Amino acid sequence: MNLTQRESIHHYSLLQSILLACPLLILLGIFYLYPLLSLFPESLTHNGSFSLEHYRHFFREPLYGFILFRTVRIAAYVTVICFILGYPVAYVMAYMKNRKLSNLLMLCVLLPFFTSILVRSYAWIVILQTKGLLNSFLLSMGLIEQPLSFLYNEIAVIIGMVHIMLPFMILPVYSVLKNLDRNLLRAARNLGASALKAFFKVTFPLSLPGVGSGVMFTFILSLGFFITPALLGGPKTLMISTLIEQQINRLLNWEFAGAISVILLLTTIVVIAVFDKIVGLDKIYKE
Amino acid sequence: MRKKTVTVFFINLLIGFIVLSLTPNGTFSAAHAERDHLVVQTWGGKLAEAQQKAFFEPFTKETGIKVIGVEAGTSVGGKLAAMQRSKNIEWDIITADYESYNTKYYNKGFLEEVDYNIVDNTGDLVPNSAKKWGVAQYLEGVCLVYNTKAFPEDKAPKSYKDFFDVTKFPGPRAMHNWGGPTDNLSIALMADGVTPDQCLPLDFDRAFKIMDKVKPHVRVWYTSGAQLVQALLDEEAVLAISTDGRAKSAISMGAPIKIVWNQSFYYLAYNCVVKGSPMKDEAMKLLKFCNRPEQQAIFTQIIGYTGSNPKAIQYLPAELQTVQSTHPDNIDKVFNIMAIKNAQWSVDNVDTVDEKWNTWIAR
Repeated sequence: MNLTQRESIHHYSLLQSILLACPLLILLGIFYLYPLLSLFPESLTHNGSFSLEHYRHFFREPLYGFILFRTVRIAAYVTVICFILGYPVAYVMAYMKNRKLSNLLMLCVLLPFFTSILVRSYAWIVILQTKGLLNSFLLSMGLIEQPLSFLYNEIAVIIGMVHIMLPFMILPVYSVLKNLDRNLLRAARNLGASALKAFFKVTFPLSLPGVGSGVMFTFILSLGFFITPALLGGPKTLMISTLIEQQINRLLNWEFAGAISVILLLTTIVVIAVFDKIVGLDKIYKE
Repeated sequence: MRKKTVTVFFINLLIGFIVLSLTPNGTFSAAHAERDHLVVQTWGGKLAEAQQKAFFEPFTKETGIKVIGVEAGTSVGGKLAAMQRSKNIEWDIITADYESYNTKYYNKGFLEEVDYNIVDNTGDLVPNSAKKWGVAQYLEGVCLVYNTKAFPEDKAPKSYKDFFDVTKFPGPRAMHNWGGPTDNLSIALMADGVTPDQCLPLDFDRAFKIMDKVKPHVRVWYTSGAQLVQALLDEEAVLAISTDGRAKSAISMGAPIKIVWNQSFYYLAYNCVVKGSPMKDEAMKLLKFCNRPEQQAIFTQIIGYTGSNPKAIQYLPAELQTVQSTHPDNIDKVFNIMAIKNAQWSVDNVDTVDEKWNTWIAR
């Protein structure tokens, strides 16, 4: 199957490729690259002249490094939990014999995409608040005597973010698993591997490209998360995007906001580079 | 094949231009400069509804000038900056912002100076209402509220000092974390015996030392008024530093709480005209209209906030008159936090206070 796939790929000339990619490149250029490139020199300006003051300020004040570290940590938690929860779902969906049931599962995974993040975050408030669903359930079961505080802490933020991020993990893993050559698995079983061993020796390694893109999606999107931490979290879940928002909207210090953004971007690149060193993204994307 | 690709390229290019023309800064959207209606930024919710019914609709009826309210969420400053940069002025008026922010906007060149030849009816308003960058619309009070079930009359808290006394007044608390925390720190200092006039410039070490005592007991750091009302209704907090408007609406929704007027203070919330507004004169006329006492009385009846014109009280139902901070019985008990000594300090040091507050609260 892999062989026929490769043969069917049409080879475009360089000019043709550039022309076909043009609309996307123009769009990215205007709405992504240009703002980003204009942000950078602005972050290097202080009182109208070139200065590293904003970067110095970032590292001088303990607040920013601390919050940046927390942001990376929360994003990492969300990514790991999404992987643990999402992989089995993707696996079941890919290997389920009952077509209708697997379509239903797919719908369940996609459904959250049709609701706004705001609505989903508010739904979690309804469930997690002191007089919310979860507490009244636990109280009526006699499991607790006083309502617990589920809301406005890191756990609430992680729950909310995992809920929103799950499809970004499930879908790439599913698409890779779905297109796996089943004969490889059969061959492994034929040669005497147990189901578990066949999974870890054949299926899982071959699904790594999907896992890789799922992890990247989840992690990068989580780093910039804004609404959910603001709604479900408290002061102890302040993330870097909230600080950027404060600088832009309230304190009107766009230069410093630019500096924080550039540092966030660099952090993202470094984390991905480290991830690449450990997992080997280039290997993943090689055919 | 090659021909087809070229065709695809041109179609895509066309799409690209269409998309470009839809952006605010685009070449093809110059039509926005001409407008025949006023666009007013609001904060949505009940406040916007009150503004709509008390000011915008009657203004349209009287003058024929249409007014459209648009909600901006919390990004007012960012949007104003973007408008000035792109020279695309989408709003004529911003509403309900405090002096510290408005001063910042004005200094950055985002606001017009009020034309007091048009807005000539500010004489009746409370002191400090007529600023060069805006006119006060209403008073937003800050006060202590307590749960009457947790604290019966004989054990009721009486001042900010009691808010910070966790042994005599145990229980979860609520305080705001929506930026501009100078008031929180001033309250901490007042609880420690500092008079309002001595609060500024803030003694951070002393203030945070008081705040440390109460920090583990603050269950709700609210970032919106709705969140505070919910916390008071659910009795998730039995003591709160609240705005008077939200406290009143929580009471009307059945929350078992009482307001402590002692030591309470207020901010003035202003209407300002955006720099470069194509409808500048009409905007000034709306600012003037908003000072009318009979309109402000309608506003107060919907949202609960006290209007900047004390004459509005006579248009209110009797039971609402006495709970207004501009009522003769109350006006001496409350004070304007922006009129205390060195108030300018809090305007000049917003960034530092925010940073210190974030550092303290994030841990």
